Amino acid sequence: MSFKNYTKGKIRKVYSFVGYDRSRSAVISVPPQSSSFVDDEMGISGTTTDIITANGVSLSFGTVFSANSVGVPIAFYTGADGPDQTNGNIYVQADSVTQTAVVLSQSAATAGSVEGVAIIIL
Amino acid sequence: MAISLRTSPNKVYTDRDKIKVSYLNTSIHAKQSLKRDFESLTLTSVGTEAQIESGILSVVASDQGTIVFNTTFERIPKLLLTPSENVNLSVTLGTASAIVYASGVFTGNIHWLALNETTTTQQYIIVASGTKEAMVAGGSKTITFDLTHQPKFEEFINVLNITPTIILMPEANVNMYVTNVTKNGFVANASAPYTGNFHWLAIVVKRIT
Repeated sequence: MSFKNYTKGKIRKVYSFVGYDRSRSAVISVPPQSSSFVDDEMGISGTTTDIITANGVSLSFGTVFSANSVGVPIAFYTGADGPDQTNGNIYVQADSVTQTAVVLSQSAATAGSVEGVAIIIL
Repeated sequence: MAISLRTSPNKVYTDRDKIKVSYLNTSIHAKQSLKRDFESLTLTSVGTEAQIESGILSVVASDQGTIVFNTTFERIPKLLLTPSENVNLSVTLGTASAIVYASGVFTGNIHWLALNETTTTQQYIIVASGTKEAMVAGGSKTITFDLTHQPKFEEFINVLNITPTIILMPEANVNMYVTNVTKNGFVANASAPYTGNFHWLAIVVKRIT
């Protein structure tokens, strides 16, 4: 899958962010969503998971980046308060990003939270 | 259901006036092109919206720095960071600012992207690109923007004199850092060579309203 380079970056779809919202001290969840994309569109979904204690944690986007054969989004994650040195590096497991989720790993199996965003640019 | 955004061309003219001074010295072609872009890039949303800021924090012989957001976030944002040196980063994060700590003293930059949902109407001009790339032997790869097919990014950077924010994410247990950021591209670096991919995002965000 490849994305077109340098589109006019329209955010045409912003999905509800899911996971633990520290500002509201609540877990936010929404039903899976899906929508079509066309050229010159950009979609963003934000996600958070409460605790990651080991490698191989699957994190759902709460959104289905689907339709029009757009492939999968690019994904960026950090510790829930930004990068977290205690938890070590957080990284995406090789080729684990799908239209609905990503599998995350960390260099140290330490309890902590991770959050981030998935973005698709057409 | 998905949240779809719709354009609001009438509000573009406000922004065009705001930045008029910035491109008075550019060519007529560039002015006309930018005018078209601004008209097409301005968006409003129906329902959920994103609050977004990006920037580059300069660090001089220090192991920490403070990012002050232009506008207080309604909710604590998700903050993505990419340094220009091989250091680990941690952060104390609030809605108005973030203190970034590095694992060592360095002089360079920290690229940052903060975003979260908001309930208020906000408009942005956002130009972005991103993809998944394979890392090469040696752990350093040069990324060149596809300005031939999508020249608006270059125009945007030249006219408004904005350096794009670069965010990197590896598919391996390494640190990543960015160097040689120009309007044409950048160099993605890993703390150690590895076989696999990494994700990159180049983004420019200008808030309109």
